[in-house]
Amino acid sequence: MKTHLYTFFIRWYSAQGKPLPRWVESACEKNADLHRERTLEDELSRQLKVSPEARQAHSDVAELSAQVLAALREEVGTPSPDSMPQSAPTLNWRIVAFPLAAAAAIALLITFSHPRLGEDPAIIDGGITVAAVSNLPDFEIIDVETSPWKNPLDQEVENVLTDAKGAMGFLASSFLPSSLAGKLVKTDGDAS
Amino acid sequence: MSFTGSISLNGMTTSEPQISSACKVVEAPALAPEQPSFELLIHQHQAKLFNFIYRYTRSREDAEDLLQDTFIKAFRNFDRYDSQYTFSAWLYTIARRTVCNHYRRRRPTESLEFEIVDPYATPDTDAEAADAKQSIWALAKKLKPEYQEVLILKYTDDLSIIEIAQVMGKSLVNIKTLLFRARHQLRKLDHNHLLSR
Repeated sequence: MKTHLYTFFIRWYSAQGKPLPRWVESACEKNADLHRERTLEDELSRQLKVSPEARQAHSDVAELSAQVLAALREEVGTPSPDSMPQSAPTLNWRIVAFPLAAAAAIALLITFSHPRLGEDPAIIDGGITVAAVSNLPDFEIIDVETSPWKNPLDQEVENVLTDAKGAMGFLASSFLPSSLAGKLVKTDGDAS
Repeated sequence: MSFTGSISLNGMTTSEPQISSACKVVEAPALAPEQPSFELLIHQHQAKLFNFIYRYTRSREDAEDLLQDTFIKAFRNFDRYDSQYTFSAWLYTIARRTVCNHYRRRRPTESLEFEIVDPYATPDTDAEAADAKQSIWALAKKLKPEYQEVLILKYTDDLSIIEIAQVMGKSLVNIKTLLFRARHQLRKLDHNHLLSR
């Protein structure tokens, strides 16, 4: 049984090309069968490293290389190496970047030189919001709201507080003694 | 892992990658100028890559076409090269996928099988043919395609187990098991006791 186990480990480590662990090595030294097994595995690895290719046609390789390079050049769309400039054209990104930057600068200039909307601001007065229309004859003055205007953030905070109080009341009524829960609900009711 | 630098094909640059120290090409300073040439990479890897593709196609014309496609894809996607793997493993992965896609399009009903064949084999004499039959690789040709592939990648193309796992799209344990079983099968087929001579 032990021999089979050692044999397995010899084959497992040999398959990966790793050196045998010390304890397997010493077992191989002490056991002739294991030693033979290790020798066979080493021989198998050695024979496998001999390439299956009988010969390599070097002329074919050179021709293949030329074909691949020609295909690559065609793919990229470059001329033959003889007519290529010596300096590598690494400035391509600059050729694109500078016109873009110039266009962006011109756009910004036009934007900021144009009369701002803020100079003819929308008038916000007590809930009545009027769209600035002086320069836009196609638009109409729209009376949106007449109710007193409230800060939406305050409104939201109030809503959250109300919901929280409601939840607390529910929890109190569900889990606390009725006498105590009743006091809490009354307190909440007073507070709200 | 990100890249810096550039790669050129005879002076024409693509993006801004640079082969990291994980690539075998740049480990030798003489072969690794600041801007490595893709042409140099082609020369270094094309022979083994061609043999690898040929073992799937068994047709030299198809293998040459697919080799070109592989290098073109590698050139286009060089900025995606992950330096935790060697460049050869990356090329093999692209090659394998290119071959699979090619066969899926042209022969959707056939399965792609790996076979140990020599693209340049022209045994001139009976003695050479007899010698070839006696080699361990002659026995390996009788194995399942999966076993043949993993043996070729390991012993002929010198890929590590991690790289083989990447190329074949399998886990490390799977590859180790395949190697173990392939060698076990070879030992069982060795009726002529090639190993014990």
